[in-house]
Amino acid sequence: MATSVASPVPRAPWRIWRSPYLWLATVHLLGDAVVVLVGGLLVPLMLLVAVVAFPLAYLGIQLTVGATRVVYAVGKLERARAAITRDQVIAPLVRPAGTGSAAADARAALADRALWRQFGYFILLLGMALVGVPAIVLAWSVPPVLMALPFYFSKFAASKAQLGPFVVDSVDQAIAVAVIAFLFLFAVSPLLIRGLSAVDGILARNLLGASETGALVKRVDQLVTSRQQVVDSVESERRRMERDLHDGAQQRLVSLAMTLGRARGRLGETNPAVKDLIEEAHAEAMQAIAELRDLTRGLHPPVLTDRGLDAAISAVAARAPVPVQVDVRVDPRPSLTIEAIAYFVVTEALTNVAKHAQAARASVQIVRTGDVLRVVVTDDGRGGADPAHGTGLRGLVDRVSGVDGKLAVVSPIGGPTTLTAEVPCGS
Amino acid sequence: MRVVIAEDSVLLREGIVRLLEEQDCEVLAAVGDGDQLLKAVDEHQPDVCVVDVRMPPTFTDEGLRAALVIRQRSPQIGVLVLSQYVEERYASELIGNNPGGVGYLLKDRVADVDQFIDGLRRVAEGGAALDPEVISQLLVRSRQADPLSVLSPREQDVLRAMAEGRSNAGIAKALVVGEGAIEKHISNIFAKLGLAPADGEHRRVRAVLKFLES
Repeated sequence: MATSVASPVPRAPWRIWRSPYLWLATVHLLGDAVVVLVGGLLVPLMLLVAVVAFPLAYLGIQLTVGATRVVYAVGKLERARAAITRDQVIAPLVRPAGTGSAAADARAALADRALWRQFGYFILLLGMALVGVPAIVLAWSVPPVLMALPFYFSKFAASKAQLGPFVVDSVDQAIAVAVIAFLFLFAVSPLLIRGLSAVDGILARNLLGASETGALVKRVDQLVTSRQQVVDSVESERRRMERDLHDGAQQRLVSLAMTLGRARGRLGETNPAVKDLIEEAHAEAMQAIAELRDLTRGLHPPVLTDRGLDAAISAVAARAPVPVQVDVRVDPRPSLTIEAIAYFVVTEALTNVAKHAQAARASVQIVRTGDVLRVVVTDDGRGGADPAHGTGLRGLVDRVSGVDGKLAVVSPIGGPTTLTAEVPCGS
Repeated sequence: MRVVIAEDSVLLREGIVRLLEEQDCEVLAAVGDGDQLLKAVDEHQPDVCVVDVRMPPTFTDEGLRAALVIRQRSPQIGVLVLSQYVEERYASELIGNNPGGVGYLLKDRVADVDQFIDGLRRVAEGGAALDPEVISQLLVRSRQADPLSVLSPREQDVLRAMAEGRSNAGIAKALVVGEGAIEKHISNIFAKLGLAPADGEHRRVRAVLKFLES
């Protein structure tokens, strides 16, 4: 995606000569002349064909589409040329995607700003070539000729040379001119090439490359989509884990507890010591089942998938140590992912209430208004909750922001605490 | 007691079958999904069936739906639903407006053989057996306009135990008080909820209904 701006020809004169880019830039700039002659004529011609042909029914539409295809092909060649001689990576322009209808395609092609930007490139390149090609010829050929001046004086015993308005009529002057020409060739010519190459690069980047805003918008779209996929896959992974535990370990534990229960019953009072052991094992198994149940319910309660938020919240509220008033109005149901996040907000918030708030009562309100799901959990506890501390609230903020939601905690010292989460649930 | 069992985990199914047979229950069929359950119930006409909520093919509330069908088609057959999680919403759907012949327990309760058999028997005889966890979830639901707020906490405990399907003796044992005290609480509950003595034994069911609906 990076588009290089500056010419890779080095700036320092002592390095400039060793860089292959000096010569590549020269070749490129000379090449501009050829490109302008071919592409600079071809592209306007094709645009003319495209515009003129467009109204001409079927054939015209085909011609329009074909012509824009040629313009893009030439643009692609130009990007390739920039990549070779300037090491310049330019984000490619993409032709509007075909819709299946040739007429719609043709209309889209003509309304396509990228097409006209390429046209602009070739027009400006024409100006570029008009200045650049003579400049290069001068920069590389005149100084060597001037450097040969003292040799010319000595060889042919000439006494005079006309250099534009100046007249050189002595060997000393000829040597001075040669030295100036040498310095010019050594220091100024490469910089001239460098400058021209850079201007050429800016033209190509701005007119032949996808505009940076467009590329960023596209990138953001991609990121939003991929983040959505990540969040969704995490949620479905939670559901899968719940199911695996439910169908595997939990069933096994229940079966074990059942067997122990039967053993206890069968043993009767014949062996009190063994009975105590079995009772202990039984109690431990029951404890394990209860713990596993809390764990899996925390992952994703099945009733949430089956019956939605309203049904799932009553179990959470029932397990809270203080009375919780529940008010859920969510219609239509949001996606499973959004429901899971709202559920998680409520469970985390009520866990915090139980752990820290010292509250006498709490309330949970979940309301969907249009495309926004609002979760409000309040308690009448002592306040002082702060997402900056405490991993619970921190995790909530992360989870909610994962779906572009917002979480606010208002919790003055002395209470009450209100936690509000707003999650978009459009699709 | 003639029983049909529906549970998809083979391990648990076999366990429950053995447990019931040890308790002199007659297991008519043990099946693994809702459709087979409905077929077995039609065929055997059991006193009671034990149903797991989550079964194939959907692995969501398959068993619960089958249980609802049974309750509608054959109200005389008791339905005891077992689940890894008990949820108030499932319980409400299951009870509908008739708390007779229905049970909804956490699966773990199976491990407590006596309690489980006791609950199963109650359901088979047209009573109720609701898990304490369901009751507490129902209480959450009832806290908004609460007609039970007139009851003292102790009376609420008693009413809750009644909803679980316990007898006076059972309530007395659970709350560790004498049976006389329980009778007194119950008559207070009837008075406070405005249930006239003329309603006779139905008052008990109506009090529980009021509790469940509130």
